[in-house]
Amino acid sequence: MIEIEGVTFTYEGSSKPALSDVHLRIEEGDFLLVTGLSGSGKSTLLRLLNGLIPHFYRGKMEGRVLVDGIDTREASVASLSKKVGLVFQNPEHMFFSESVYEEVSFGPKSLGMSKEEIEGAVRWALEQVGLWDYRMRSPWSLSGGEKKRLSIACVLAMKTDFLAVDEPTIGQDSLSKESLLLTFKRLREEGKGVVIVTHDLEWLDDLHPDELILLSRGKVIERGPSDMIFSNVRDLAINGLIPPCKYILSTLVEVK
Amino acid sequence: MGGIIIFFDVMKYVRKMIEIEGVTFTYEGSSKPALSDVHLRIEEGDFLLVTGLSGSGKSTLLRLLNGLIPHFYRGKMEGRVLVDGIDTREASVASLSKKVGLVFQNPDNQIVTLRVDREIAFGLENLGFPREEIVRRIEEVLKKLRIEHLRYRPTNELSGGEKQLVAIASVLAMRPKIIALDEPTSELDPFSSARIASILDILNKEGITVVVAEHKLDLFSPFANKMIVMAGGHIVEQGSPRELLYKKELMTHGVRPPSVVKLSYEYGVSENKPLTLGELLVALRGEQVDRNRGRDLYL
Repeated sequence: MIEIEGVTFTYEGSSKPALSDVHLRIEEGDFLLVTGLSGSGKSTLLRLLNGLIPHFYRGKMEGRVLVDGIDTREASVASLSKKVGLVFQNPEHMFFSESVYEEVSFGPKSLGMSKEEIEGAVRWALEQVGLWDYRMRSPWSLSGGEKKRLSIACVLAMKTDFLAVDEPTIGQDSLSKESLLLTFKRLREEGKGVVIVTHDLEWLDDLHPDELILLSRGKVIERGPSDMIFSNVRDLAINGLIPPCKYILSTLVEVK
Repeated sequence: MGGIIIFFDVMKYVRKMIEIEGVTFTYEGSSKPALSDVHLRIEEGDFLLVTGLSGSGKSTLLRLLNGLIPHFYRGKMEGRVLVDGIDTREASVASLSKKVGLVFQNPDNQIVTLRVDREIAFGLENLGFPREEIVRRIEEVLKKLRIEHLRYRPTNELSGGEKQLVAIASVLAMRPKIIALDEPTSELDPFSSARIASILDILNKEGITVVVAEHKLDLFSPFANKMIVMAGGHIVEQGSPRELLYKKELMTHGVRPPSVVKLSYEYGVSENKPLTLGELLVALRGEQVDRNRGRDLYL
């Protein structure tokens, strides 16, 4: 279980907090979606989950984050990343291997899995994102959308209990978006805790999350079932988000 | 005789900007052609929407338009591309860049200087424009895109959406007749994406020919007058967005119709072929969609 208890975080050199008094509880099997405009604190929230904040990003932090009961300030990022897998928004920042296969096998290797386990995990992860046929290619030769899916595979292969993904649909065509949708649904059925940050609300609607969180200027301004939040078209529009078509339509007319 | 005169009269107004004639292109080191026997005509004032799955040949098609292929990317090219009647193989990329401006998916790969005004000046300086003219053009494009406030800002402090606007501004500063954009909104949030779409609409109405490769059909199809769907290096569908987005065959090429299209089937008003929420509302009221008012009803 991940518990965020009253966290306020201000990056070094910034005067405004990136997150203000955020409370959140994520259990295994939970499916949580976070949305909000650029700069609303979505990525900062993800960085809290595996200890990147406060270990890696400097700033002033109040409150605390507990992962399986352990305060993230007292655990190392390495030990936390065995429990929480994080996929960043810009995948190329983390590639360093010569082939797609090696890139994905790095995580399982560092976790000390056996050779067979590594092979199984890498194959499964690459198949999930449709990149098994690309396994011998260089990560750098992939398109933007493919790089994103590779970074998702890297985290999948580590078989962590929690998975947090920043903007998975960026650069993806419609087929890739559909297959990512299936992957996340399957992970949820397997009892993993999944947190996804996105502003692709049409796609998000198809995921049927347990809970949707709307962030604005570092604050959680709405939380609840997605259809409830989407029906509040006005609030979404004020926050620069475009709700899925069918919700706009149903606020404009009574459709029989 | 009269017929011939009328024919020439029409030819005067419908000017072909770009003709792609039977082009097949295979990148060096690849065994499969990225484009196969592509024929396409882009006319002055067109707003062409290019769609299709990743790897279907969209980017390769755009690279043909300003001569990046064959001048910059190596490979085997058959057929020819004419821009304003000039074969791109016989023109330099520099001279073509005055006619066709290309904007890429990731603005970080396009921005080379540290300040917005210098970024816009960069292309012009390289072509040897005098200083006064450069300043005039910087002011002109900043105003056109309504980003005057970004003029002296460092480029590395801009948001993704602002960077993409600056990339478009530096291309527009060359006053091209055609602007071609490769997935310009794929890295942007919904608000910035909508802004790019509406700016392209404004530019198009001012007479610039627009070619845009995109997955976000809901955003761009209301503005486009022509659309092509690509699959495996071929153009597999060609027509108006209204016609194509209501074609069942679209699904077989991996292209999913936008939500408005799905909803109009759901509510049984698909024969009206609405493309925007506004048009869908009109159709639901049982009225005919006025094709000429479509853009005003864009929500």
